[in-house]
This record gives sequence, structure tokens and C-alpha cells, in this order.
Amino acid sequence: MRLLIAPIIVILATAGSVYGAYTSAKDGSRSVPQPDVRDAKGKHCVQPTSIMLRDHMVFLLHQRFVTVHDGIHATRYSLIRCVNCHANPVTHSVLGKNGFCESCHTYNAVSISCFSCHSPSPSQGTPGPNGVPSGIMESSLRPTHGARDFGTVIAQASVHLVDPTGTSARVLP
Amino acid sequence: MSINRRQFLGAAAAAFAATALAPGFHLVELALADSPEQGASALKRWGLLIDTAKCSTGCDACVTACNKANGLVSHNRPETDSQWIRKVTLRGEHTGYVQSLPVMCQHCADAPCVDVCPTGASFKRADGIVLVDRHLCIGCRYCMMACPYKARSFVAENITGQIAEVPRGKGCVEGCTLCVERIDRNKIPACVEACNETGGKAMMFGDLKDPESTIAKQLASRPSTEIRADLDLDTGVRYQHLDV
Repeated sequence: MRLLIAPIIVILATAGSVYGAYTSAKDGSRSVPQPDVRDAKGKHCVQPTSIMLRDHMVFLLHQRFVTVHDGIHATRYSLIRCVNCHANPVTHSVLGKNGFCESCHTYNAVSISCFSCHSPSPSQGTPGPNGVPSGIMESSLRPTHGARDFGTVIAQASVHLVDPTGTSARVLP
Repeated sequence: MSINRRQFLGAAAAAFAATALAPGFHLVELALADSPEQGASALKRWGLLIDTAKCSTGCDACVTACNKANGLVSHNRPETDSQWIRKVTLRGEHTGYVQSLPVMCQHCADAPCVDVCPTGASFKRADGIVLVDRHLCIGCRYCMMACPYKARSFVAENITGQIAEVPRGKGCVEGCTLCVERIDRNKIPACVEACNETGGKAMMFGDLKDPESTIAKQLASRPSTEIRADLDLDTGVRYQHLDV
């Protein structure tokens, strides 16, 4: 009996999905809202899209510890930099129906808690993602330098970023 | 010269440790890594020196600057609004002498908040700044109980419109970060900047471990005190002309 039921279920499911696809195609609409991931300012991301799709959360998780606990403000996998580049030009946010982050996470049914604390809008003030603003400080301190590449900093700290894909990190422009 | 078993094992362990270090990894270089872009260094200890004689009762430039720099917005509920720095007015019980001073996280070397935190969210950076890692904070508020300076606040409301460099949100405890995001970019804390620009020039920021720094010279040349010095917490924020 079981041997008979299983194929029937499979056939019904296949027929249902084919019919669904057919009706969607016919009236030009999709039943599931598609992610809107077009917004990006730069020419390319800090890693190829295939890697970012799978591992962006790994990069962010690693960098957040380094930044908060060790005070290393590298820009390579900075969430601020993600938002600066990917915010929707109309809403100025990565959240919302057409927001870069939220639309894709909704599509994949993954809830993100980043933006309950982090700003979903581009950084308003200084410092910018690539620059360090001038400031006043005691003369005994070192002068202002440009922000360092994340890979360099990590290498100096003798910690290696886990790159599950095995591809080498590209140098940022 | 003969060596006993214990000395031999000690030497062998030291030799093994030396060779086990990663290639190119030098302990001396690590210790010298003290510039801001290389992260917090234990060679520095950031601190504040506040001259209460220069701090006037009516001035709240430091508080306003802190709120603006860190995006602290009032919900018109003073009991629960986040407060990273506040002005305190003291009046001598017998003399009537009135003093005004800003009080914020005192960035203790032996911080009680760090001791009691069950998740490791309260921590002290290598350069002495006491912080909350909001990724780890569960909002239990033990640290608020432990802090003798009432320096921490609990965020009880949803927050929007945060400043990108200062993430903050509901369910976490927060307090003065000594404007860590500014320090890491070679800027001084917002309160000190405001005090020197529009206030009474009562606040000084610097490296307590650098004997050549202005703050260290000031501390070495004139008497100063900690609030609740009896607790022996070795605070990073010190006061001059404070009569308590």
C-alpha cells in the first residue's frame, strides 16, 4: 500500500508545481515576491557574488568580534560599508520591500537581527568607509593614517580568516 | 654545571613554545602595535582628567555633545532614558560649597561590571576602555547592579535612526564608550571636545600610560582623586579639585 501511495504523492506534487508555474507565466506574476538585489554603487563587491551569497554572514561574524573587542576598524567586511553601497537609492535603506538585505532574507525566510541595532541607512557623518577624518589629539599620539585593509590587519594579528570556498581574497581598489 | 629534571623540562617547553609560534609572528612587534588602525593596545590606557574647579553648574555641553555624537534620543521618560554622561551637583553638608561635575563610566581597571557579566558581554579592551558587546548582551542588567557609579542604562525601547558608527538597540545595556569609535579614528571623545570648545575647558583626554602625555603630567604634578576611591577600582576617569 505504501509503495502505491508514495508515487501518487510525487505525481500530484509535480503536477501542482507545473500548473502553478504555468499560471504564473500566463498572467505574468509570481506568487512569491522575488528579492530585489540590484542596488549597488560600486563596480564589484569585496568578494565574487557566488561567495558573498553563501558566506557574507561568516565574514560579518568574524569582523564584528575583531572590531568590537580588538578595536580594529577594517573596511573590507564592514557592515557600514555594505549598507553604504547597497542602500536603496530611493528609500536610503537596505530594509523594506525592495531593500537589498530584507527582500532577499524574506525570500529565503531568514530573519536578521543586525538592524535592530545597526543603522540600515548609509553613514551620514564622518568617517567615510575609505577615509579617516581629521581630529584633535595630543601631540604625543601618532598622526592620522588611512584605514588598513582587513587582510593585512588579520595577517599581522596572526589570525586567519576562514575562507570556506578556498578562493584567495581579492585586493580592494 | 648540571641541571635538574625540572629545569630541563622548563627549558624544553620554552624552546618548543618559541618554535611553535607562527612564522613571522614576533612578540615584540605585537607589543609595539599601538597605532589606532592596528587596534587597541595594552601599551596605552585611555583616561580622562576632570577639573571640577573649571566645571560650572549651569553648563551641560558635555552631556549635549554625548547625546548628539551617540544618537541618544530622549523619550521624555527621564527614569529610563539612556544616559551615558550626567552632570552631578554636590553641596557640602556643613560648608554649603557647591561643586558640579560630569559623571560617566569610570572605565575601571578592575571593573565590577566585567566581573558579574554572565555572558562576557561586559569586557575591557586592551587599552582600558570598558565596553558592552551588544552581540553578547542578554540584557540581564547585572552590570547595572554592580556598577557603583550608576553609569549604565538599559535600552527598553525600539530604536531607529541610529548613527551608523554607534549601533544601539532594544534589550541591551549600554554606557559611555569613551567614544571608542572616535578614539579608534584619532579623535577625542565628544564630551571632551565640547567642553574645550564651548564649556569650561575642564576635561582632558589622553593616555595614562604615556609619561609624556599632558594628562599623565597633570596627574603626576597635582593631586587628583577617584570617585569612591575606597573601592580601589583604579578608575580611568580621575578628578581634580573634587572635595568629597
